[in-house]
Amino acid sequence: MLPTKSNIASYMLPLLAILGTIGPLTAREPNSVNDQVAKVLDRFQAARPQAKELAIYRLDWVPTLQDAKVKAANEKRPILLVVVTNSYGNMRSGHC
Amino acid sequence: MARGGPLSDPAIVRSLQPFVVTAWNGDGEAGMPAEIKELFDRSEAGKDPKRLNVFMLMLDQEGRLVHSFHGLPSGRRAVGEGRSDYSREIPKALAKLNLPLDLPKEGRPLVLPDLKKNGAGLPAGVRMFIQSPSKMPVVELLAMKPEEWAPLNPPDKPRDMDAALLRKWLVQVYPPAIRSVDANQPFTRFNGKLTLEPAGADKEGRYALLRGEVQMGKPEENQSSFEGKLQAVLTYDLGSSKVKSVRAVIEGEYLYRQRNLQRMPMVAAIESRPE
Repeated sequence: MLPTKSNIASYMLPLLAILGTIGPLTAREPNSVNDQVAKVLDRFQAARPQAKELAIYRLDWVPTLQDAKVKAANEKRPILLVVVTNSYGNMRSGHC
Repeated sequence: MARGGPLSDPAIVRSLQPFVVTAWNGDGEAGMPAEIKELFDRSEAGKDPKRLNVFMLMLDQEGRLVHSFHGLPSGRRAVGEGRSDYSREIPKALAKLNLPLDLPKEGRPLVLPDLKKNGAGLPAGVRMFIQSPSKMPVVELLAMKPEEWAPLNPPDKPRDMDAALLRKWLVQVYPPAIRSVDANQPFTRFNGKLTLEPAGADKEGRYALLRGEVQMGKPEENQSSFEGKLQAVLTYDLGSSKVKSVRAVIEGEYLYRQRNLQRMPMVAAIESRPE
C-alpha cells in the first residue's frame, strides 16, 4: 500500500508516542549520579587522617632557617630549628 | 621518632606555640649548610659524644643559639644517651628566652601545607595523606601543570588510561621511617591500567570514576615495590572540560625488601587543592 497522508498519520502517531516514552529512559536524569561515587567518597573520607593525627601541623612551620629568621625578627618570636642528620627526607612532610 | 612522638603530642605542641619552627634534614653533619653547622657545633647537644641523629636547637628572635637538646625522646629510657625529656627541656628554653611558661589554652590552628590558586581554571595541585600502620601521616603537596590534568578530562564514554600518567602521585606512596637507601631510591616503573568512566551528573556538575590496579617498582627487581588499587571521583562544572576537583584513595602493600620481604599495608588519600 502506498503511503498517504492519512495512513502515514495512522502509523507515525503511535511510533512517536513510543519514542516519547523511550527517550527519557535512556537519557540520564539531571540528578542521576552513579552510586559508586558515594562509595569512593566515603572511602576517601575514612582514609583521610583526622585532625588529632595531624597535631604536628599546629606548629608554625616555615620552609627554611632563613624564612624562620625573617619571620622571627618581624614577629619578635624565637625559633625552633630541628636538625636531622641521618636522612635527606623532610621533617615537615614526614617522608624522612 | 621525634615527629611521631613529642612533635605530635598536643601538650608538647602547645608548649612550642611561641616558636617559628623549621627543620633541616641531611645525611651526616658534614653536609650541613654553614649557618646551621655553626649553630650545631656550638650546641651542647651537638657536642655530646652520645648524640644520635635528631637535635632541637632553640634560637632567639635574632637567630642566636639559646638552648639545645636531643630530639629523640627519652620515654622509658633514662635521659641521657642521646635522648631528652621535652617536658623538661622546653620550659628551660622558655625561661632563657624570658617567655612565660603559661600559655593560652587554645593552641595554634591546624594549618596543613597548601597551594595557591593559579588562575588556570584547574586545581593548582593535590595534597596527599600517606599512611602506614603505627606511623604518623605523611602530608605531601604536589603542584600540577594543566597538561598533567589533561588525561583526567571528562570522558564521554569509558576509556582506559595508563597508570604511569599519574606517576606524580604514585611516586609518593611509600612509608616513612624506612632505611635511607630505600627511601632515597624512588619508584621508576609505573604499571597498571585505569578506567575513567562517566558517573552521572547533578545540578553541581558532572562526575567521573577512575579505578584500577597500580604497581610501582624500582630499577632492580630485588628492591622495594608497591601493588594496590586506585579509585577516584573527579568532578567537572557543567559545560566545562576541565577538572574541578578530585578525591582519590590508593590502597595496597609496600613490599619492603631488605634482607627479607616485609609487606607493609598502606593507604593514601588524595584531594585537589585549593578548592
